[in-house]
Amino acid sequence: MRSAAELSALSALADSGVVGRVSSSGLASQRLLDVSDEVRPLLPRGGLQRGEVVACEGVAAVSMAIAVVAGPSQAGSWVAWAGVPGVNALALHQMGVALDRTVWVGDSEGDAMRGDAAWGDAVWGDVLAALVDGVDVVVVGPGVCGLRPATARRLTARLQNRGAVMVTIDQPVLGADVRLGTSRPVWHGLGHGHGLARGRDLEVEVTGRRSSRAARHPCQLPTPSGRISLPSGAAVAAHRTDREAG
Amino acid sequence: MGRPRHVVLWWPHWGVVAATPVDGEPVAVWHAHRVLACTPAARAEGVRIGHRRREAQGRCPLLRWESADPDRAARAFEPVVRAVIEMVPRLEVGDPGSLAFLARGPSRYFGGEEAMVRRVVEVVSGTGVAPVGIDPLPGLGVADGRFAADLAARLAAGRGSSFFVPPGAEATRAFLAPHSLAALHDLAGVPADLVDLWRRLGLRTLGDLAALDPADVVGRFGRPGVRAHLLARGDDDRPPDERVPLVAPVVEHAFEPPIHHADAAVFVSRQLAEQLLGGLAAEGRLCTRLVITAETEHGERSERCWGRSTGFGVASVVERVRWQLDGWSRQQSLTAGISLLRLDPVEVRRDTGMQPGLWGGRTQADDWAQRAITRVVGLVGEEHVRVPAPAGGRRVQHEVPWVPVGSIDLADPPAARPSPSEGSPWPGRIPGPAPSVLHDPPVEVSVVDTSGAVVRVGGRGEMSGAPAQVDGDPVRAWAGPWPVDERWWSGRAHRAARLQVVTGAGRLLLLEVTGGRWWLVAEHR
Repeated sequence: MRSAAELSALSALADSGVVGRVSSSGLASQRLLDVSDEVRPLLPRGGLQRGEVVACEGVAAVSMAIAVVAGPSQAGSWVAWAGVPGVNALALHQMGVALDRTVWVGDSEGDAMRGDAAWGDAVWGDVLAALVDGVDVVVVGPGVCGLRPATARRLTARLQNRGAVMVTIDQPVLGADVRLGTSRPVWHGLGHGHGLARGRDLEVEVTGRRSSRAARHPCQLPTPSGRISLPSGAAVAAHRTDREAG
Repeated sequence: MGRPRHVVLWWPHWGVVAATPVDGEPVAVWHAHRVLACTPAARAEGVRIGHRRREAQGRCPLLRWESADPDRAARAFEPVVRAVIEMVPRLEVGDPGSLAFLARGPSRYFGGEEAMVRRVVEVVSGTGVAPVGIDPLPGLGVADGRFAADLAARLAAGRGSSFFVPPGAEATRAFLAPHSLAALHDLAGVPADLVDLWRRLGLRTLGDLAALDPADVVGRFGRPGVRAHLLARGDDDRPPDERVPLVAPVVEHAFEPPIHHADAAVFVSRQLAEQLLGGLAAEGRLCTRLVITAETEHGERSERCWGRSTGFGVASVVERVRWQLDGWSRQQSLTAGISLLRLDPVEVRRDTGMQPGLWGGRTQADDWAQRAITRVVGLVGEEHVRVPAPAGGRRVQHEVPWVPVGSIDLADPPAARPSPSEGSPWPGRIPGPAPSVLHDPPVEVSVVDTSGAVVRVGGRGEMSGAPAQVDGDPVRAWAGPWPVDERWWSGRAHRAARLQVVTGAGRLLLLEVTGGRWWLVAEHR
């Protein structure tokens, strides 16, 4: 009898300690952070799983990262941009990211994508750890340089513990649970000396850690209004059969 | 019906106690980049509560800047609570530095309100807590109703004296009338945006609000409006239909076997708080006054009433449990382990929307994010942590610049910060999707035509030739040039022409030519 009571008190402690920690980083009940309708078909689980790393790569890696974080940001999560020099806040806004829940951390004025190596592993390790502690979505860009594999492992462990999500842009050292590769860009709207860029067609290749086959989706990113759109129907169907097969 | 007489004691700068100032040292305690409390030395230099960090440091360069520590402030406050509780058994502890109790009993016992107040002042100064460097005496307000008493205490606080509002509804209303509406937000938790809306509608004082017809107020501003209106008139802030007090269940946890560490009890209190507040939230109610009781096996008992005008969240309940147990175990050596912890919500109000999400809600996430941001600022400095600040401009790099986090108050409600407006009046900005990456400073590139000569753009926007290569990359398509001629009236004039270019690799670049040199300004990545 006594042991039963003890046990319940113990489990109460464990619950309040562990569950309390995750819940306090926001939106406790969900293990899955909601993404926008357009991005949902791209992700194997239909959302961002807390604790996972989503890698954006290729010609439109930054735009893809913006599209991925827009959903959680609208739903109330904070998004931190660490080491993404020059990322354009207007593009974030057009994609629907809530600017009042956005913060940027970086070591240079933003010598775009070149990332001067002023901060090394130690500083970035501390900064990213602090961000993972309090922010739901942390975007890690190429400006984060010199991250050692050991630090990266610690960060991903912390990520799972805290229930945050990392979206990386060309950061292989952090690994990836889901990889979103972008290729074959085709721009519309520009002629020879006339017109205006109206949008870009892309191919997105989705590779999950668990699925061996990659799914390919045509997609428009950005659209004329700066958002993302997937031609519905074909791509989604292809995606489903792919998942069932895998 | 008048409201019962309330007494409120309030130290305006209690938070600074935690910073343990030496005599005459200017110290300010801050939270979310705002001064929460400061010492008289800092005040003499012109630092005030609510100042931003830069403003405060500008006025007083020697200022010691300490982050707020509610736990230490609560510990320092404990002797005061204990001293007053000897005199007034049932009192409500608000944030550290504030106490409230009903005047009726003690004033009879001590022979009138004045005598009671003298006695309270004696007792409090007898504790010798008034630490060096802060105001030796609290403000003491006595009035009908908690809100009026709070306000009276704040009026008295600057002078370290007491302020009596004569009894009666008329006198209370007359006392409240000239005060700013901001008091409703500061003292009674009325939503800031509602107060701001009233201010913009031209209602400046509580009197202005009280003069409105209650029917109009309920029609236009709903429940929060009605509550604020009642407060402004000095009436009971419980709307008539809630005059029957809402009862809420008591939650408790019996420890079997008793526990000897306060930490364990604090852990359990989180669960109790979630259970209690979750039940209330499900019914759309929130708790504004809470009695926390702890008992030991040998019958030792600690009971204290805590108040919070904006309603308790889980974190704030846990905090209070920790403060209370901490103070209790310091005060007397307990002879046995804690066997019972009980939370009794004695005042429950309908949630009128002023209460942010209890857990996992927006504000909790905001709070955590703010803490993380503060930590990162501490690690790398303010310059390296930035937030977007929509500004507007013709050139893409000016539209939404990133500004250092210190120049914006993250605690501000989002509505107080501007958002980029689509189609804002900036003729000459390039429409369409915004590039995802800006190069700042721009990167110099070479733009040549088919003959290999650098492309020139004349004063009227005519080009010497079609661009054929950008840094050796063939050009597939291009549009422009779009001239921009900014600030021609000033010394910072900027005259340039812009070009959109798609290269062979499918990159879309935004180029700018000025003074015959080409720059890569932005691109889509």
